[in-house]
Amino acid sequence: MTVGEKKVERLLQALIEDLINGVEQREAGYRATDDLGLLPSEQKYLFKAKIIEKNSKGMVRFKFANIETRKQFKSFDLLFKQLDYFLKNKEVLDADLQRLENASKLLENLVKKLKDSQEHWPKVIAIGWWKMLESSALPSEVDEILKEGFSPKDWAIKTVQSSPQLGIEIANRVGKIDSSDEALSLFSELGLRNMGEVFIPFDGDNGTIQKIKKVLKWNECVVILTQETIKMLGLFWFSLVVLEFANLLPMIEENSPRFIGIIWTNVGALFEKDQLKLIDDLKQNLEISPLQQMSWTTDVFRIPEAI
Amino acid sequence: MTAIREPLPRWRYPDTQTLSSVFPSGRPPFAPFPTVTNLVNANLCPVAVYHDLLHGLDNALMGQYPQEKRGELFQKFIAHLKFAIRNGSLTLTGYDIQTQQGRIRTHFLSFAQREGFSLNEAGDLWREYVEPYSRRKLQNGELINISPSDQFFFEISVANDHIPFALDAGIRNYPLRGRIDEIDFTNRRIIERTIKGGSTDNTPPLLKDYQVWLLAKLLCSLELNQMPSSWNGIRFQDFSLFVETPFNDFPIPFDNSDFVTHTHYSYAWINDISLSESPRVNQEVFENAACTPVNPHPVCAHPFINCFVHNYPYPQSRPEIRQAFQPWYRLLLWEQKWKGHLWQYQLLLLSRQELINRGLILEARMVSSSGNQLEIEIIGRQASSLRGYEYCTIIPYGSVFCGLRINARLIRVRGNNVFMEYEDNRNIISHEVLLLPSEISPPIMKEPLTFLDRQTQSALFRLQHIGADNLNRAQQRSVIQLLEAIFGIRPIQRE
Repeated sequence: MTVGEKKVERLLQALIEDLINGVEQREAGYRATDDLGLLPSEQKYLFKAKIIEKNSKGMVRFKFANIETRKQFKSFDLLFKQLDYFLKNKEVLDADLQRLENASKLLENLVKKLKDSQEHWPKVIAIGWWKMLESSALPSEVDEILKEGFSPKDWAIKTVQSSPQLGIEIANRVGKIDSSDEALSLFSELGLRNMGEVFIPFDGDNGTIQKIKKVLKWNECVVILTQETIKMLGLFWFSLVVLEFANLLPMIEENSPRFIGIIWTNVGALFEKDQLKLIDDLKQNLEISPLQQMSWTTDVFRIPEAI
Repeated sequence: MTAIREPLPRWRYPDTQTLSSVFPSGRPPFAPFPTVTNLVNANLCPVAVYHDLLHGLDNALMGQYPQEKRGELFQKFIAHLKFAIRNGSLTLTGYDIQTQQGRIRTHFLSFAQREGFSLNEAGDLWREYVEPYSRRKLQNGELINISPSDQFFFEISVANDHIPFALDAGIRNYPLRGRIDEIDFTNRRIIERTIKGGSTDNTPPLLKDYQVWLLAKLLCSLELNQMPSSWNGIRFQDFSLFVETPFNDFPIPFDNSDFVTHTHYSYAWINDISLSESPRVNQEVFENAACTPVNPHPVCAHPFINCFVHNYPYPQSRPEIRQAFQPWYRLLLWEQKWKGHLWQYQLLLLSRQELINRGLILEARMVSSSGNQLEIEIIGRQASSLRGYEYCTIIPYGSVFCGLRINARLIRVRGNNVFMEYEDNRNIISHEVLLLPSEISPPIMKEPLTFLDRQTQSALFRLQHIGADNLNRAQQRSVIQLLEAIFGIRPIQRE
């Protein structure tokens, strides 16, 4: 690398450093020419070649708006990519940080409600379990499905339609709840819009639900689950659903670990356990042998993949 | 180097029942059959191996196209050059170095053009890679001293299901497969060749030393009957390991306790990402990433391309898209494990007779070879019933554990003899051949097309990240509108 290139690299690095440190784009990257060791002749050349620009104080910075310079300094490819990341993502990065903060507040509010009163639990479980069952598509042995008169296609449709009802049933093991509409009212109680318009439960007919339960040996399975497991799974899925509907999921993948951390922290605070203990307890209950013998349970009774 | 991860108590191999399963389904109850590339990625960064396994993104250190193609050409040409000198089709003796280089150059330019490179590009490649390489090798006499009795093998595929790695006072066994660039029997060297690296480097390109070390461990773990019969009595433990760049040959020590430790960590990452049911794994992968947007890795190909991507504000439903896609990546990995990885385990763990009975391999005998065509007699089966073998892999030399694998195409059948056309103009060494279904075969083949699942994974990953910077552009791009329509669940809020 030539001396001149080294100086341009330094200017590029200065611009990136400033952007990382939150300096506004229009002010970022300006440095005194003496600090950079730029000779007047070099300055003149770089300015003429539109590689640098000056501010009113006579300070210079890398002229990032001139995309031609990228061709000239191909060896700085990684720096240019880094520059673009901080230039173009700033708005989304800032918005995402706000999202994470709001997500944290919303979950804290939910945890407080659940701590203060048991009456919200059935609603959380009904919605959480509904979404957990629906997203799993309740996989089962093909022979068993056919035996109860379902075609594989029917099974896929009917199980999705029956998920809200199965969610209500399991919620009734913890408290009293009659319908999905009642469960959905929790959204308004958390200060969110009523999601009834976009969150439409199907009315699975009772006969079909009984057949589905027979295929899955549902009653034998759920009776093994402890109240804590039912609550824990319900809360994990409900948290994800409520944050999704509140538009509080992170846009940026790199923020996912922080987002996941927020959910675990709040669930942990409610159950007064750390993450490892929560996982261990859940695993212990789900690994009881009758459940393990059912091929479908590990693919259904689970924490959301995103968490 | 590898993020620390508790070594596994044992590698989870498929059990006998799984090895025999006819209609597998659901979560595969075994760990993948890793490649050396998987291990190198895991050693580099947990996110790199996460991308590899779940997003179908290959070697984080390989670089983007066309760099990959250039590396392939370089390796192919060195093999071609050495064979040409050995066979006498290229004579170098009796000339000065400058003339010798001129002859090699002519050879290279026509070789590169046959491989689909333009003359201009071939010229660039000559100057950047082949010229410094050949100059060095002419100066040290390596090329000029090649004699007709010299033995070297290129692109030897190696695989073993149980490779022992020391751990505390005991060992752990893991499976591994890979391909060795060159085994030079005359000079007793195992070589990993690359176009990376500069003239002033005093260390090998990142993790190339680990790569050749892994391949050597793999080769040394094989038993005599798993190697080509003519290799009997060869002790690969006594061979030297080298990383060859255009500018340098780096000797790599065989004993390296750090590499052993990193290998345990790497296997643990591969296992946990692909098999673990712990919800903490994803979080831990990203928490242990080797770099951040502030300190990007200087060599890895992922930063700002697959990691720290540009976050377009549209589609607004990107979080939901990500959430919806996440299980799909895993399901596509399961598909690969059931199809490709299980097949790899079967090849090495089942007996030869079981493999034949299951139709996983066919036994054959070479009748003749001419140009890039082989005439092969099928043993114990009617050639006319060869459905699914239109494209296949032939091992003309060696075994499923260690040998030369070439891809071939069925061109005609006569009686019980089949005529196959293979893609490379290599020397066919052995008359014993095994006919294997290929990894790159049309759908009628028995061999699963795992590369298609990887392509689906990478296509999904690209789709997950497409976007537009403003509403106007987003409204003009039908893909974005379609994604919003499918995954958007907040239409009322957006108004």
